[in-house]
Amino acid sequence: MHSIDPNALVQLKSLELRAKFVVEGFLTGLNRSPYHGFSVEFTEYRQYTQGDDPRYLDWRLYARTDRDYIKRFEDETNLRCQLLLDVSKSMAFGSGAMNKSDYARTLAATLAYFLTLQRDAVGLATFSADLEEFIPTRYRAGHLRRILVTLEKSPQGASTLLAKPLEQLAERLVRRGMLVLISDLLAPLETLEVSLGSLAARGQEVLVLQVVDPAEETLELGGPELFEDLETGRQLYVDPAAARSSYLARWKAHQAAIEGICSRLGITRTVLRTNEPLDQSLSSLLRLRLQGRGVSRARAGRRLA
Amino acid sequence: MSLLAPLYLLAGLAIAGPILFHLLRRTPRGRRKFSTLMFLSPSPPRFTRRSSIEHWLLLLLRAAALLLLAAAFSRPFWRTVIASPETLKLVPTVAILVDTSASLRRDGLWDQLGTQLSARLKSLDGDARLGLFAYSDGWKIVAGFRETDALEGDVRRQLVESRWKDLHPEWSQADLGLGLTQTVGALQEALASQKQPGPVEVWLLSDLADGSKTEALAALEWPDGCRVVLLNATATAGTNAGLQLVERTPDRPDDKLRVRVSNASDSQRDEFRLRWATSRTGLEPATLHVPAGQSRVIVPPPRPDDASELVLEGDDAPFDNVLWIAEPVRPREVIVYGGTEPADDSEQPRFYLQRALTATAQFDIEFVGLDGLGVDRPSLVVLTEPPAAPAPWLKAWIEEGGTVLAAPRKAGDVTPLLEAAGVAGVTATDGNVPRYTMLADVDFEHPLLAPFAQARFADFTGIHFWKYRALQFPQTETPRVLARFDAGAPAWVEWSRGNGRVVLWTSGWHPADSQLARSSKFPPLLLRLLELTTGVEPRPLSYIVDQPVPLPAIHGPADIAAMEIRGPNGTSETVTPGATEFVATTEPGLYTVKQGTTSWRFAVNVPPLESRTVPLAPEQLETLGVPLKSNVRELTEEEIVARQQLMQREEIEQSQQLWRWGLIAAMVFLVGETLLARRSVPGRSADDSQAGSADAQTSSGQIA
Repeated sequence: MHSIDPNALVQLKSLELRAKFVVEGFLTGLNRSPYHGFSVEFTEYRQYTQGDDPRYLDWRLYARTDRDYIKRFEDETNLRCQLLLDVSKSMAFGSGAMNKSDYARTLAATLAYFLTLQRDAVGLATFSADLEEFIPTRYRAGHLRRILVTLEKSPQGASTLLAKPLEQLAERLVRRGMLVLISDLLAPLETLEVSLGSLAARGQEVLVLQVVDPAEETLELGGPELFEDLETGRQLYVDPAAARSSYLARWKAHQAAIEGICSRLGITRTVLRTNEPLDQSLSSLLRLRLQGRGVSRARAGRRLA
Repeated sequence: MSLLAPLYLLAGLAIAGPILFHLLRRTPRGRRKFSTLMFLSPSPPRFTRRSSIEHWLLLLLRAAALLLLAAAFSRPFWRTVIASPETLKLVPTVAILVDTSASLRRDGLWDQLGTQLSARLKSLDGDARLGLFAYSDGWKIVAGFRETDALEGDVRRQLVESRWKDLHPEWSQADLGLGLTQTVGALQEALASQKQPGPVEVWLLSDLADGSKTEALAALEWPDGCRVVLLNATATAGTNAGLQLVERTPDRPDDKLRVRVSNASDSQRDEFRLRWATSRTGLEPATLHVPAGQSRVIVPPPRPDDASELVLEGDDAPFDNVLWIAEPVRPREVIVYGGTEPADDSEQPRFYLQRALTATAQFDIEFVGLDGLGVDRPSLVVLTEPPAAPAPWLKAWIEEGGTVLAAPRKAGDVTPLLEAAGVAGVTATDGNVPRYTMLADVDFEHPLLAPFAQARFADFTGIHFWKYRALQFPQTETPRVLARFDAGAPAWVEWSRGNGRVVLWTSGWHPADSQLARSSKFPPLLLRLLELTTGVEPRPLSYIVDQPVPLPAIHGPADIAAMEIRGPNGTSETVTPGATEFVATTEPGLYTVKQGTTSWRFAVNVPPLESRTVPLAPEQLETLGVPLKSNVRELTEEEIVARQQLMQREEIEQSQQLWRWGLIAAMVFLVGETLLARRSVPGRSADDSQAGSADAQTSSGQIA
């Protein structure tokens, strides 16, 4: 498996080309992997409600537990994946060849392309302080083109607010599926747990892809300068050498808080650094997700037993 | 060189600022956009000992500008030869403020004040500046500082003494606060033009009666070092009681004349007598007991017809012992009714007219027929049908100011009826009324209808009219239409004739014509018409001294000429053209207003607060902020000399004003500093442009 360097990827202006480039590399690696994509593993149980076809009742489970569940077979339907992309101004930061926005948009384009290849339905929503664009999940000709055109737009949104867009999205997602949140998560986290928990409770399988610039993790930015907040425009004189220790402590506390929220909700979260190859990031994401599903299955099994 | 405010030089230490800023190390050279500042804390720039000053010229310019500003604010001046302070003489400034309120009319008080003032003036420095002012309810300059400053010392004192002799107690309420406030204002104006310092004093000549108004003292700021010297007169007689009118409520049927007798808290007697001043004999005065510091409201003995003065006896100060009472005059108003129907026929207009126009508190009304008018002059003529016999006096009476209300019951009556009143050429037909019509356009600017202008009275649409007479006017004269029906036809019309008027109602008020007689607006309309005709309007009859009295409407010089106001001393007071009120109520008594054929009286009494004659204690004045002389520290010789020196320096500084040049030089330095700073720090804009070009290169380098 050869990896695609972001320095090389950024030279590709077209997102579609980037996505194809990444997916081809990803699929090359995937041939040697034991995993078969997302939708193959997708299955779910739900409580029987009046009006459901009794032919789909899981009679074995009913015999064991005396509870009536509808089983949806693995190949009954394809995956419905909604991508939720952060387009706030903080995503425009980049210390390397690719800024977070470029990286995140390429990632979203790659996922959309890959899912379309697999005949899965994919949709795209963008957000900053509010939900901005919303393309519902579909699998049809021209849908990928619509998503890619939307992704071509550079970040124009204001500050990142997580709770409100997630609530707005929850109102629109009426069918179960997968929700992939791509964001730097540089926002207050007070209501994030409630919002993500609400989405999970509605039957959405949530994946959080946190895009991080290496400089944000280390604050290796040279000499003292006047720092300007990309979102608020607030200015602050900062000497990175002097401010590093307190910055790193707060950064780690923030990351730990995100990790804690995702862990409590059983959400798969992965950190993608903009200097890392995208295909490797996707591979590790897939691996983590399947591990997470194993855990979820074990939990589901305990609940059902 | 010397300085007037040397402490401002300390501001020169601010040059440490520019030096420190020039020594700052690691100042931010650039600006970095970062994803978020939520994890960052500001880290202040640090100093270094090894740093050197890079821009000496900039530093010098900034420091020089700051030093020049500090120097300018310290107000420098060059010393010049002036007279030594020791040779200067301290000239006192004295404002003499005299209380001329009614309470000074007590026996001996005014003389006491005069004696004290003479003695005090004799002991005063011959060059002292003097001003004489007086107050009661108002404040006036008797001899101002501008006038006295132009005179020599002795002449100045003589002028003040002669003006003092012209003063005398008035009948007004004392407003101590106003007097002191205005006097301090005059004093400050005088001190502003004074070239040498000296003691500043206010000599307050008053009995300091407890009833004086002092509210204005709360906001008074006294000049620095000003002292108030009290030259107060104290009454030798011990008892003072006052008599005041308790406000009457004429609307109430049980309204009676009541008076209040109040006894001062330092009185030594509590038994008084109350009697009417009258030529009749055999009337016993009422005896009453009022303890010191208390007051009682009593109903006085029945008033004899010829009495208008109620007198209190038994105390030592008679100035407030007379209460003047003006009883309302109810003139007999004769209303001539020109109709032949019986008075008790409820289908006819007269029935309703006589019930609407009944005797009131203002009028005593009598109805007579056209032929029953004797020697009386009518107040109002109401015609509902043409006179059977000509009334030759009618037109002349209208010209003199009479009013005719015409309400013909038939269209054919309109022309002869109006012609009898002097209005010719008007013809009428019966108006077309499908079911009923209403008043839609009412002229509320007309004096007859002005009282109905308020929104809650202005709705006339509830009155339905069944019939009316449609008028055709001659081309020669257009009358004033006071109201129209909703179809546009005139309902009420007025013609002016000389000083009088003819008012025509094209629909009557009796049931065959309209609901007007049953409307609540009918009696006030008729009463208003009667008021307009007679000029008699409800008004208060009791006032206190200096209180303005509202006058009847004055429309022009003719009204002023016809108006005569006779004061209690028999002299006629004049009314200013355009005045709506009479302000010359300067003394108590009965005033008589004559306006044309009508006359009425009002009473003016001593202000009730003047009866509170217990002297204010000095402590009370001090709590009001008055700097009494006993509590103000005298300036020492050294302080006076120092103050003189300061004033001299200020004078020299005012003439030189070097501080202006300092400010101008500082501005020049700052402009130079700004220009130099722009030239010597070009790096930032260059850095920015470089950064921009780098971005452009990156963009163009991307593979399409």
